[in-house]
Amino acid sequence: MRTSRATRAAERRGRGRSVAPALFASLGTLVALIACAVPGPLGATGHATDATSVPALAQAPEWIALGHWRRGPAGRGWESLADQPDFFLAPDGKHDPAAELAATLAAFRAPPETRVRLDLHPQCAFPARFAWLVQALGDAGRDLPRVPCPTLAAWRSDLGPVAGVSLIFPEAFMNNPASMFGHTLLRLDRAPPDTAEDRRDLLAYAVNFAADTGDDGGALFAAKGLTGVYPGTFSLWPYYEKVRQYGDWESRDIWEYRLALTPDEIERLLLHVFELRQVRFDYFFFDENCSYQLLGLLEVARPGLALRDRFHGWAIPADTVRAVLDETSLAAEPDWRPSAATRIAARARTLPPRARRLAGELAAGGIAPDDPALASFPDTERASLLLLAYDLVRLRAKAETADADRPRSLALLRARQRTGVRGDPAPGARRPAVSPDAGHRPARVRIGAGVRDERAFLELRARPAFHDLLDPPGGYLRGAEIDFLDVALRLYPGHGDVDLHALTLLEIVSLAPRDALFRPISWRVRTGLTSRLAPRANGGFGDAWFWDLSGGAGLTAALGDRALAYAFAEAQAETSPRLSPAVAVGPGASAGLLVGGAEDRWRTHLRARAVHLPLGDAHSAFTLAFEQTLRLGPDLALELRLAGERDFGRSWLETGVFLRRWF
Amino acid sequence: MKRSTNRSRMQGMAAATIGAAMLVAGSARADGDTGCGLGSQVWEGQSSVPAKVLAVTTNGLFGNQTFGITSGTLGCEPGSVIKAEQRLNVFTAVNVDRLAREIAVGEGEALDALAHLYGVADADRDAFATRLNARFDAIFPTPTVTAGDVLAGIDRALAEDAHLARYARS
Repeated sequence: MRTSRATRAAERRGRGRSVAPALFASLGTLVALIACAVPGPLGATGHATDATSVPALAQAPEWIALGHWRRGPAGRGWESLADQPDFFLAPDGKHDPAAELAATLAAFRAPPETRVRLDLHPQCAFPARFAWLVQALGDAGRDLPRVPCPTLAAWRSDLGPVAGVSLIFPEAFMNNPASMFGHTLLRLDRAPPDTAEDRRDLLAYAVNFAADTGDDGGALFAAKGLTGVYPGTFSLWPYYEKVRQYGDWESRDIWEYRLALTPDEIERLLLHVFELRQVRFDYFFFDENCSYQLLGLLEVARPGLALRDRFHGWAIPADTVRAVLDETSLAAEPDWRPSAATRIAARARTLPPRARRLAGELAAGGIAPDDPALASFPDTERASLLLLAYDLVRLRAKAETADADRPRSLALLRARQRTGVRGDPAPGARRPAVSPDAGHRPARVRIGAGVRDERAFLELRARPAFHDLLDPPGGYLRGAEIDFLDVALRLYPGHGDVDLHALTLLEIVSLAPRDALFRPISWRVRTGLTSRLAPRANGGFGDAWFWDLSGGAGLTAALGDRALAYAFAEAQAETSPRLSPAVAVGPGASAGLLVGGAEDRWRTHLRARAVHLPLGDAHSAFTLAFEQTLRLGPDLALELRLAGERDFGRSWLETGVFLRRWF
Repeated sequence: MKRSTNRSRMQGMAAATIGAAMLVAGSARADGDTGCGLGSQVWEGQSSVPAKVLAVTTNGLFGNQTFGITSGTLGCEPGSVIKAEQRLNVFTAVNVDRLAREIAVGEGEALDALAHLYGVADADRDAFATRLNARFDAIFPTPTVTAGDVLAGIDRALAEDAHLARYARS
């Protein structure tokens, strides 16, 4: 194939001898490139149409996507997101798409023994650029000399068939700050949807963009992640490896969106993935993150898609999924791959409580698989019980090494095989009613009016991201709340100007329900500024600024599919000019009941909280609140709040009605 | 908490391996044999082809380090893919505990993928699964069996069956 194309090209070169060298010999610089574009000798030979477009090519969406350029600050100039010097052939290629195009064209005509990055000829190091230029330059492109690329051919052959591309979304994982919003990657599907071969998607490859964060943790991790110190690269993984990592290790359910891409688009994507091997992109957690960079790949696949333009400042994975679905269509309904924990919970629900308890004892090694207690169960139930025990052992073995796990695992499987039950009759986990793309958008504005301590107020509140416990839960992790930079402005008519009422810098809540098999700890942390009622020096009561920092750990229980009940032990520290001394520190406790499922239009949160701060300016505060939302549309809800507060020995009521709108 | 620490340390190790391996990617590529750094994490310093393959296939059943090991398998050159002749070995090494489960049950997604890698025709899939299920004890004789042992056991189970013998790797 390649040889014959090369031969044809050589023939054409022979025919067009007077044209091709004239066109390309001087392509080393942009000046030469523009000169070549001047109609005249070229027009006379019939290549004018192609050649006049050469300088314009440097601004073509295809080229801009291939170089990962985007407009610089204030829309001036260009800057590529790639931070790999040898990814550019021109000295200032990172900032100059035109110079890079000229240098690329020149390099493609370099002698066959020429080597650039990864010890490859330019044509082989940049096959997507080459394929596009051949096409875009028309006859002139077809006249480019061809260099064989055995490394690319072997890579492509080892990759196997690729008939589609899926956008993969492992849902959020609360116990890792880098995964709290979910993650996205691409899967190179082996076959079209709903074919026999398609079901073997475990064997497909996945394209993942990730940062190499080393062993860093805590503040260093956050600081480096925010400032782009970590190098990020695209890498290829067998999909089974990613399913293990996200689905088994981290127990994250995985959504799989099959994109309707054409074969040409898929081929472009593959060539570009090859081109991006070992290309470093500085990783920024908020904006230039995994999800954002994947959009860049899709823009290469389908030039003209303006996906990345939609994101400024931050790119939340679920938002990028929505952006992709807005711009492309799906080839099939999204698939859902339940995690190990989800599958275990689903199986446990199919078993009677006694079988569940025995499975727990089997997994813990309290009883052996041949224990007489198991004999009373029918074969299918015993088979399912043994499998449940095995899955529990494996899930726990991911976390801790226990030598006893190995013989126990094998004994359970042996007993399972000996039941003689072929196949797994237990119904699988139930797919959530709402997929992540159908969840509410993460930015929110809340506007409303209320009364606090007998004074009416108007309130405007906005936050850029992400999800709180009263937001519609569909498409989000159950019981999880992450709120950033939630700012509230209030006006008390007749009492002066619009004032900042609250600024929640960060609030994270993880309500992880416990049951007979899983015993996770729930936790919460919050810090922010609030204007609170506090005693004045003159004996009155009025607004004062309080900066608080609080956190806690606790337990959550699921009451059916719709309700969570929780209780936390907490600690709080606060500082305010109104306090004397200016700080107060102490313990607290809170409890609540959260009701409402993904399919419900309403959602209720009843909560109580008490803090006693004996250190510093001693005081105690209590809150008892009832909050209710009613969803009016996909991105609109009505909220009612009713709260009783007590602080510094004084009590008051606060009520309000608000509209919540997500963007 | 402990779980998260372990996991992030694991990822850290994997990431460090990738980083270190990137530095030596040139020499790794020069090997040009079984695929990049196959199993090099386990068999440090041994670079011959058999050692590399062994490193992956000696990955134990029910071990808990498969994630780290295959990261080493593939990570040394981001963007590299597994050589066709190593696909069965790597797949089995990574998924060996899941395969054990599905062979005990007699069906499953990983077992189907394994049949595909063995080149089993669609019409013989069921017979393949049934055969492996029947020979579970022989394929998984001890808790410390390795992925390589498992593959050898599967080959024996297939070879002893008149119809399926054609799929056994010689």
